[in-house]
Amino acid sequence: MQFQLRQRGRASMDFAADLGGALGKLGQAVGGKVAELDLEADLDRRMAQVEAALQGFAPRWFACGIGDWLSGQHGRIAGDAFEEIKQELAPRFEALREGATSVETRAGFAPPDYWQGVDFHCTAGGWTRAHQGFIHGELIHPLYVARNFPGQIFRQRSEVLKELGPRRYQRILEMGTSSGHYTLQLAKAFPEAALTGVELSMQMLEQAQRLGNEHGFAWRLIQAAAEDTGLPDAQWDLVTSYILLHELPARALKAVFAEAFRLLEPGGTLLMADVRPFRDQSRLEEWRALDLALRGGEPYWRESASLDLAQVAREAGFEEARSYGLGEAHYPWVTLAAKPGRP
Amino acid sequence: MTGKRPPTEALLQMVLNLTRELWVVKDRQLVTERLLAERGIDLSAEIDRYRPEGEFAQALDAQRRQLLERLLEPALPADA
Repeated sequence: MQFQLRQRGRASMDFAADLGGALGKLGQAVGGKVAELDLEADLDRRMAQVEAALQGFAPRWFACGIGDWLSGQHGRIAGDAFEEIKQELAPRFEALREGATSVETRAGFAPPDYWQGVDFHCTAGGWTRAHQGFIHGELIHPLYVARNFPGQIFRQRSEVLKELGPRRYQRILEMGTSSGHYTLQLAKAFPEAALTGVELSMQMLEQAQRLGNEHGFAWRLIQAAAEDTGLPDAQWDLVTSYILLHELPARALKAVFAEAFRLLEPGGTLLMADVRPFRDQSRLEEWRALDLALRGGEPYWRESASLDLAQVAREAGFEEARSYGLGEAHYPWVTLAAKPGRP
Repeated sequence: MTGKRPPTEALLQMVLNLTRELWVVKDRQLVTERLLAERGIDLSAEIDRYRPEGEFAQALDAQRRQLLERLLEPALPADA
């Protein structure tokens, strides 16, 4: 969607993004200090060991303070930038409700307890603030996160689909649709497929619907939990998610795999792309990932990053389950598996 | 900065660096708008909707990053 921020909103978003980038040198200084330690094997002991070693170390103090400011402010800055253009966007929002992409709520839908009231990523208003789909999908993601995220954050969503090989999928279910960035890549890769997306936040689905209608797609978007979609058995040949799993506690994550197994037809494919697990990381990398997660509003990162997702898939009934990282950074971390039987 | 110096000392330096930069910019903007108004030109709405592109956008990026680099300089170890 084309839009133009006002000077205040534009300059504030630029400032927040580059302040995030400027944290790099502080992070290097902190990393250098941590690298001098003989790090403990046990993660809890290591977290305490590093915290004690960094007490009074100025780069750490500033990195935490600036990081906390960014965590608390990025959603507000983006929300303020949106407010400046809200009135002129309103008619376009209204127009983009019309089209072949539909939104519905699962009968009897109730938000799960692990999600309700949690401000993931410390983003002001969580996923349920009015217009959060646009604010996150069109402002925070491209103008803040993507500018400092390693690799090409949007290209990664299309690159991961190459892991599926030549098979042409016809009925695709996406778990955790959010504002539709991955949905769009799925639709472009498989334009002939019927695409269904489930997502907990109606505000995010509103933006995904605009995206679908803007590009002329006919997505069926449903407000429902990925682990309890209410959809019929064995109707899909691909069930997939991008960057959903680390937002789930382990019990919900395992339930998501079980639900994916139920929804897939025999011979169907599971493709989950998410963050790099701890077991693929050095002790220092593992500390850094968990430290950032704890400070950055990721309450379930540790639980999900501690799991062997290929094993979770096997326990759910899948076969040919394998997990691996893409590229030098091993990101995203891909889990591929098949439901037994012939397509 | 060495690890022994209290972070609050560096913080005060950063706040003062930032305040100086802010005032330089604010002074320049007020002077610019005043000179333009004296010539009958009101650019406030146009500024609000202006979208920097090309070389000017790159120059803004570079100056913003330089500002942040200078702001955070006191927080870094001396050998960084």
